[in-house]
Amino acid sequence: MSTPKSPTIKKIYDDFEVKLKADEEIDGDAAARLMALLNGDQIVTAQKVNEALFPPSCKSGVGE
Amino acid sequence: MIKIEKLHIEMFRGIRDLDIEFGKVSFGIRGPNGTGKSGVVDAIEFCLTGDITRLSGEGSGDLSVAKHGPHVDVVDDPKKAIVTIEGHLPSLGKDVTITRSIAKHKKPTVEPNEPEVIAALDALSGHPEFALSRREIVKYIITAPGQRARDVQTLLRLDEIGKVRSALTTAANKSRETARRAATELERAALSFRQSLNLADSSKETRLAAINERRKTIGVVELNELAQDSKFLEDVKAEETDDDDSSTKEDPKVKIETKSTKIVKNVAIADVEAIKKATDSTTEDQRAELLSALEALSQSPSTFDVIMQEKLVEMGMELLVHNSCPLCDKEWDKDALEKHLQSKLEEAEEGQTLKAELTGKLLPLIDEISTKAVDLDRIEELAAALGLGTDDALVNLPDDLTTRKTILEETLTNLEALDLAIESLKQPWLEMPEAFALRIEAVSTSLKELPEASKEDTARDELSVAQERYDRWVERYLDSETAKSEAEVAEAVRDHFNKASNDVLVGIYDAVADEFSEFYRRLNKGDEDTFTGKLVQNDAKLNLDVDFYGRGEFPPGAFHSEGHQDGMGLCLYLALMKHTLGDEFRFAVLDDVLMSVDSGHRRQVCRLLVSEFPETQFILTTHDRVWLQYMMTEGLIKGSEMFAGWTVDDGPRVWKKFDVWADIQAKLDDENIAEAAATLRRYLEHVGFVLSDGLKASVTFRADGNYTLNDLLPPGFSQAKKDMKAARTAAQSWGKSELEQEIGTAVQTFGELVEATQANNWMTNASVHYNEWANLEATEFGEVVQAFRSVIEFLQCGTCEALPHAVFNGVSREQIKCTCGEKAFDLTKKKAA
Repeated sequence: MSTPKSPTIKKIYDDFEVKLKADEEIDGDAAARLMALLNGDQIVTAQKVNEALFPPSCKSGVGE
Repeated sequence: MIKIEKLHIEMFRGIRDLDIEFGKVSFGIRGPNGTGKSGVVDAIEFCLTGDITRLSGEGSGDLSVAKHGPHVDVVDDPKKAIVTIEGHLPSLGKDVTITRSIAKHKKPTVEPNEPEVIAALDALSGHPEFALSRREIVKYIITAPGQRARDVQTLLRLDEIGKVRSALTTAANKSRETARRAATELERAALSFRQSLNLADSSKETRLAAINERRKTIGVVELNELAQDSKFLEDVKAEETDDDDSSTKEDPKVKIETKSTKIVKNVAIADVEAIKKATDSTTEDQRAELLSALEALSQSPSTFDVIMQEKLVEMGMELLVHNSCPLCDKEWDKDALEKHLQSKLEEAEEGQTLKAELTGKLLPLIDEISTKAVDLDRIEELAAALGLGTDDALVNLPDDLTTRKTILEETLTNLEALDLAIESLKQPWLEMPEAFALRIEAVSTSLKELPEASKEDTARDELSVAQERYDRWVERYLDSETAKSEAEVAEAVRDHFNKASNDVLVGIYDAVADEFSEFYRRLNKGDEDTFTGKLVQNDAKLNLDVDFYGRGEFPPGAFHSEGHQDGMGLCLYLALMKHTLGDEFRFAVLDDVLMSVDSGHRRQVCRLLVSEFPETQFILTTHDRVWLQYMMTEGLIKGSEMFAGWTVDDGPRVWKKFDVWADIQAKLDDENIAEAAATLRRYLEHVGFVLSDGLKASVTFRADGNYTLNDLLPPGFSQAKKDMKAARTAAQSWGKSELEQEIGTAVQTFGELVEATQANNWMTNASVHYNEWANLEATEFGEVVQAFRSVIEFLQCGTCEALPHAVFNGVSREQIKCTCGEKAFDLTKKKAA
C-alpha cells in the first residue's frame, strides 16, 4: 500500500509539477517520470532523479 | 485520529496485565517515577503505530521493539505481549478495536476490517508524534537550527521535502560536473583540430577556408559549407591515394585512420609546439588550498567516515528487499533498517557539502594530469614513428601519471588514497620530469629534419588528420551540448522544487509562528503579553528567534528559563499539530511534559488546552500530584488513574482500578498484617495528599516537600469538616432549611467517622506511627481499615469517585465539589440586605 502523502507535501508537489510543465526546457515525459518517482514509495536518490530526467534511451545528440 | 475508550495491556514492557478506561475523554495518569506510566504511553503508541519511539528512536542504540517490547518474563515469547485499544474514529463515526502483538507488530488485527478504517489507522500511524515526552517536546526549542528544521519537518510530515531537495541538489551538482568535464574535453578536441590545420581561431569561416585551400591544392572542388558530418576527403578518389588495399579504397574512413598513423609533419610540429608551450592549468595556490582541505579532512576521521559511508548506505538502501541487512544478513525489520539508513544519510548531509567542496578542488588537478598523460602519449607516438626508440627515464611515466590520477580520484573514498594524496601534494609531483622536456626537444628536432612532402601530399595528409580530429571534436561537441543541456535541466528542476517548497514552507512557518506566539502569550498572560516568535528558514536550517521582554530577539535557550522553554516547546508542538492536522488533531499523549513549569503557568496550560482543543483527547502523565489536581480542577481531564507502585511481578498498582480494600482484605485473610498495613498507609498518604491539595487545607510547610501522612490527612479531614460547616451556614443564610439540615447531618456523620478512625491517636504518636498497625491482630486491624474506608467513601462521589476539591472566586472559597460536579456544596453566604 502506498504511503499517503501529507497535504503539505501534495501542495508542494503540485506546485512543483506546475512549474516543471511551464518550463519549456524540461521534457514533458521527463517531468512525468520525475513526478511518478516522487509520488511513489521508492526512496528518492540522485541516481533515480537522473534516470527519470535523462533515461539512456533519450540520450541522443544535440545538433550544432 | 482516534479517541480511546479502553486500553488493555498484557505482558508488555513493565506491565503484566492492565486495563484502563479512558472513556474517550482527556485523562490523567499520576504516579511516582518508575510506576509504569510510560509503559502505558508506550502501549498506546505501539498499538496505534507498531513502533515504540523509546526503543527505536534516536539514542536507542541496541534496543528494539521485537526484543525489548515484551515483558521481561516473556521476551522469548513475544506473541504474549499484546495491546488492545477500543476507540472511536470521529472522522468516520465508527468504533474500532485494534489488537497488536509484538510477534506480529506490523500486522494488527482491526475490527471492523474495512478499507476506510484501515486507511484512517494508516494515517494515524503516520503521526507517531501524537505521543510526546518532555525530552522530545523541548527538542523543537533547544536544538541546532539544522536539526530543528529536520525535527519540525518530521513533525509536519515534511521530512520527505529535505530528502527530495538533497537528491535534486546532488543530481544537479553531478550533472554540472559532467558538463564541466565535457566542456574541458571539447576544448581539448577543438585545440587539437586547430593544430591539424594550423588555425589561429576556430571560426566556421576560418575552418572552411583552411579546408578548401587544401582541397584546392589536391584539385577537388571546394566545400560550400562545413557541417557536422562533412567529409574533407570524401570526393578524393581512391586513385589519388597511395594505398593499394582495395578494402580501404571503398571506405574513406578506414583510409583516414590508416593515414593518421603516419607523421604529418606540419601537424606533428604544431602538436609538439603546443605541448611545449602548455602551462599548468592549476596554480600553486589552488594546490596549497587543496592540501590544506585534505589535511583538515584527515584530522576528522568521523567526517571522512560519513563521506565514505554515503555511497555504501545508498547502495544498501537500493538493495534493501528483505527483513535483513543486505551486507551482513543480520535480521532486521525492513522498515526499521530503512529508517536507520535514512538517518545515516541525513547525518551525512554536512559531509556531502564538504565532499562537494573538495571534489571541486580535486577535479582541476585530475584534469591537468589527464592532459599531461595525453601530451606524453602524443610525444611517444611521434617518437616511435620517428624511430627514436624508448627513453628509459620515461618508461614508467605513463603508469606514474595513471597512479597519480587514481590517487586523486579515490581521495574521498579511500583513506589510504587520502594519505597518499596529502603526501604527494607536498611534493612537486605535478611537474613533469626533465627527461620529458628533453624528449619533446628531440622529437621536435627530428620532425624538423623530416623531408618536406609535396604540396598535394601534405594537403591530403593534413586533411586526413583534420578529418579525424574534426570528427572527435564534433563528437565531443555533441557530448558537451548534451551534458550542458542536462545540467541546465537538472538545475532548473532543483530550482523549481526549491521555489515550490520554500513558497509553501514560508507560509506554513509564518502561520505556525503566529499560532505559537499566541499560545505562548496566553500561557504567560500578564508576564509576556507582547511576546513574539519567528520561524525563519535559511537554506536547510530553521531558526527560531523569540522576543525577550522587548529587549530583542534571541534563540529560546539564550535568556528564557527552563520552565519557559518547556512552555515554548508545548506551544510550538501544539501550533505545529494544529497546522498539520487542523480539526483532525483529536488525540495526543503528553508524557510527563511541563515538569519545570511553575504552578501559575500550569493552570494556563490547562485553560489553553481546554479552550483551544476542546475536541482533542489528551492523555497526560505526571509524577506530580499537584499538576494532576490542576488538570482536574481546570476541567482539562475528566478521568484519572493513580499509579502507586510497581513490581516486576505485578506491574503498576493502580489505585482506582486496584481495589485497595479487597487487596487489604486478602492480605488480612492471609494474616499478612504487615503488608496490609503498608498498603493502607500508602493509600492514605495518597488520599491525604489529594484531599489537602484539593481543599487547600492548612498544611505545615516542608521545604523538602517530604510530606508524611501525619502532615496531610488530618488537615484534609479538618478542612473538609470546616467546608461542610461553611456550607451549612451558607444554606441557612439562603433560607434553605432542608439543605441546612441535610448538611448538618453530614457534618455530624463525618465527624463520627473521622473519630472512629482514631486518626489523631495514630498520628499524634510519632513514635508509634503506623508501623504499630503491623502489631495488631487481624480483627483489630480490620476495624481500623473499615473506619478509614468508611470516612473515605463518605467523602468520595458515588459517580466519579473523586474526592472533593475547592473552587475559588478570587481568594474566596465558593464551592467544594467532586470532579463530575454531582457532589457539591455551595459555600457562599447570602449578603445581608
